[in-house]
Amino acid sequence: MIRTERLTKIYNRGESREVVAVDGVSLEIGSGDFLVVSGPSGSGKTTLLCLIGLLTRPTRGKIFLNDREVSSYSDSWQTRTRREKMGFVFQQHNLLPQFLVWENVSLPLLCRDVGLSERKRIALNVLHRLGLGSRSDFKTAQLSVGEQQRVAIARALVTDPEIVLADEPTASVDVETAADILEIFRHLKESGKTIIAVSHDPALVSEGDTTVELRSGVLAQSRRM
Amino acid sequence: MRFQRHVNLYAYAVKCIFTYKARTVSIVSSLVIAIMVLGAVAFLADGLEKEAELSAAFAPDVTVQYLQAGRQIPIPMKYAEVIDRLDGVKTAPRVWGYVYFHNRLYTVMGIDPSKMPIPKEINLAIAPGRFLKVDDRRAAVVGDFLAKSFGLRVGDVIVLYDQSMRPFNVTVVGIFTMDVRLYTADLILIPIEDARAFFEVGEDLATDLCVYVESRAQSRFVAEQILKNIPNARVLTREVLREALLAAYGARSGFVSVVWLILLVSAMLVAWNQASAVSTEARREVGILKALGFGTSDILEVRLVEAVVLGALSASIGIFLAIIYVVYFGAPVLKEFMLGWAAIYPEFPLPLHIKFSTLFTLYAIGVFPLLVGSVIPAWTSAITEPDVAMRGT
Amino acid sequence: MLLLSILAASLALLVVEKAFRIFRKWKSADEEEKYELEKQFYLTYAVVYIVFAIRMFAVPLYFWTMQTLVPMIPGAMCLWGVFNTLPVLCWSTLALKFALPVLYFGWLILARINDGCKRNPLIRNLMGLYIALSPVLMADSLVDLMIFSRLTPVQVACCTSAIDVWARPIPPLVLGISSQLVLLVSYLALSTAYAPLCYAALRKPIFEWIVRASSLALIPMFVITVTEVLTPWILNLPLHHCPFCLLYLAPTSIVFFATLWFSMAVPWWTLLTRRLGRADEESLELESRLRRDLWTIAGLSTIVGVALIAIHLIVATT
Repeated sequence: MIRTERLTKIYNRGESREVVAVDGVSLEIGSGDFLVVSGPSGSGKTTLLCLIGLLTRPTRGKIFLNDREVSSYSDSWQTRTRREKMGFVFQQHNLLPQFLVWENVSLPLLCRDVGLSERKRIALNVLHRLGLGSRSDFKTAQLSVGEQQRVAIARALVTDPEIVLADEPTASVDVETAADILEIFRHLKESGKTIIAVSHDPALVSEGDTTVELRSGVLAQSRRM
Repeated sequence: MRFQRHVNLYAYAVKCIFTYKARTVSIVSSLVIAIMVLGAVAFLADGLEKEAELSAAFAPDVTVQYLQAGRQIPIPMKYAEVIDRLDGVKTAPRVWGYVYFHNRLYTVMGIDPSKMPIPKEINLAIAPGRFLKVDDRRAAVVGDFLAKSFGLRVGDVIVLYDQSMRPFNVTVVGIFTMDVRLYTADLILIPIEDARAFFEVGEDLATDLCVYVESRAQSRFVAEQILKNIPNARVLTREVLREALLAAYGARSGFVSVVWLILLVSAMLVAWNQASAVSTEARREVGILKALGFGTSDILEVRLVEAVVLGALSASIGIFLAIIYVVYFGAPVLKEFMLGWAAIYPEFPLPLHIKFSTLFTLYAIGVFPLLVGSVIPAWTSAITEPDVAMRGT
Repeated sequence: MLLLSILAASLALLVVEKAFRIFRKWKSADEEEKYELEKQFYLTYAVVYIVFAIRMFAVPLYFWTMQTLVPMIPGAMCLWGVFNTLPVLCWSTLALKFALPVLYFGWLILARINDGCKRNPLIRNLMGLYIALSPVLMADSLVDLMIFSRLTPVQVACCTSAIDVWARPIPPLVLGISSQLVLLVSYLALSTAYAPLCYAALRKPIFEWIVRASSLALIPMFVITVTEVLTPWILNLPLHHCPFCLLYLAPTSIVFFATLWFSMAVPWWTLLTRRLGRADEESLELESRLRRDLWTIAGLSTIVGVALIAIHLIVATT
């Protein structure tokens, strides 16, 4: 489903502070696979995730999604692809404080032809499934850290994406919440979603079908679990 | 619905306006001041234009005055006979002048209703009461504002004092309505015989002559003939009077527009400054939105819609305040400049006329400069990289 | 009016350099460089939208502003008189005001096609067209500035001197005593034939050229018909032929002006999309679909315009 060919990302190209964040990474991720990307700090894990999630452009190399070369798409078409096919879970939950919980969850639906009542219905549905139905009208600041991260996951799932990308989803939460999040990811895997997660959490790593390790931007190891 | 996406984005834009309150308040307040000034001038100018049009409607086709050493003096009545010899022309004399009444200057005008073709619409211009009749003596029709100022009603007596300080009583028989205020605010209209007696002007003289032409298209031709036949005449056609009034108010409002332009440039600079001062928080928000599926064009649309909404809001508030300023506060400072009356003239209630084209212009002026001032900051914000959200920077 | 002209000109000038850069570098750029150029393109896109919006708003403002000058110009009784104060500038800007929106909307149509494609195939064509358009955009603003800075209250002849019956003997001389009826019937017949031609253009490209030729013929015919027939008949003033007076005294006539303008602009938009909107397979498909929609709307617009003319005439004569 997702394939990368010699993917390379160089920041500050041509300058003295040039950094090769990802260097020639070739990967293949099947539909429904759970890929975990690990590696030391600064090894290019987040950059790789951004590249696959079409959040940034590769300097060299290609990205294929369902055999279509999406890396050469225009910005608007990459956005469209991202909107229709992907959901993101950030390390910092990145909820917007001026919106209520259900409004935060429904943000990805704003750019679709979905009216207010329908957006609310879909958002409440997802929140209920994650056990946050009673918090839907709260401000995000009124939630615990664990609840905020679960809201962020709900936001990633509201468009029913084929691919879920997560950057250290359990890094900033307690053990109990981490277990809840793990359970959510298990359900996502069972429902056939393709998951790509950056993580050091051994519990999350053990859930993955495939683990890849990056060192200095290069694919050092790939292990099928 | 295909447009639902745009509706969603517009709703988000409105929410952003209320989120960044400091920015909103600074932009709106600077623009409101500019629009309010221009709006007040525009409404006043439009009102004066409308009044001038109405006044011109009641004016004679041609007015003939007599000059000596460049100044107006009474015109000999023999010239009325000269003018009457022209085909399709009728002449009526007027005797008028100014009088102090309760420390204000008013115009006392004497006319001869038998010689002056009174338009049918005149009765619409008088309520209550009636216009002067041919056999009236010591009767007067007064302006609405004069009547209100002194609580005059039909049947009341006004005591004027002539040049020899002798009392001169006239009875009010009619009061002009508000519609012709520019022309009639300070007017006391009396029979010509009374005016001659009051101003001590002989039967062989008049202050000026009103000339009425059967075919209005011939006014200019008649004016030319009068000039040829009467040396030292100053001949004013209705169009000249109307254009002079409109040009005067237009020139005054044009001057104020220069001042207004400075205010508007300041408002644009404030808008630019505020829009450019994008906080880290705001940048992060854009990065998050882009990661969630908002495109660069969507963010641009949101920011530009914000500018349009702020501009329209500022224009609406500015227009509302301009109306309050003119109607309820009497446009202090601006009034003296626009009307040019001296303090000894009676208080003149300001005409207010709001035209669609003026509103259109004010809204265009509220929206477009702000839009232009916001486009580059909006673009800078919109091209924020979405991976900013991932990195939390 | 002056303010809007200055704003439009300044903005238009601001992005010309960016347009040049995108135009020069796009072909040889790699993906990352293209992405950077695309970001610049967004600014150009936003500016173009705003400048076009300003120029479109400026059109009624221009007419209203000129109308307010009528009392200030001795001899002027309508816009015709005001235009006669600076005839070369005023009449040329009038032509620009009708012609430029055709180019503006053409650009926007091409941008719409580009937006629907995955790889910005038309970005270079869009920038090239913008570079070609920008002098005209500037000229539009500059001419407005020149008019309002040079306008003086000189004595002018108004419309009666130019277009009232005794100044225009030609139509009755050529077409006889029923010249007005002949003109009206001819114009309506040609317009009515124009609508099915638009639908035929959907099927065969040769008809596109026939429609283009027809639109070129229809433009002067429309002007003559408005002057000779529609103005005196709609206003019930048999000797008065000033189109400005028609627009001022019968403001609903602007609707049929607009619909017929649209129907006559479509052939040129489709020419533009054919020439500049087909860079790859994807854009070809999109362009074909859009072109079909445009021809359909052109046909409908013509029918609506003709119907509105008929309604105006019926209302005026009853």
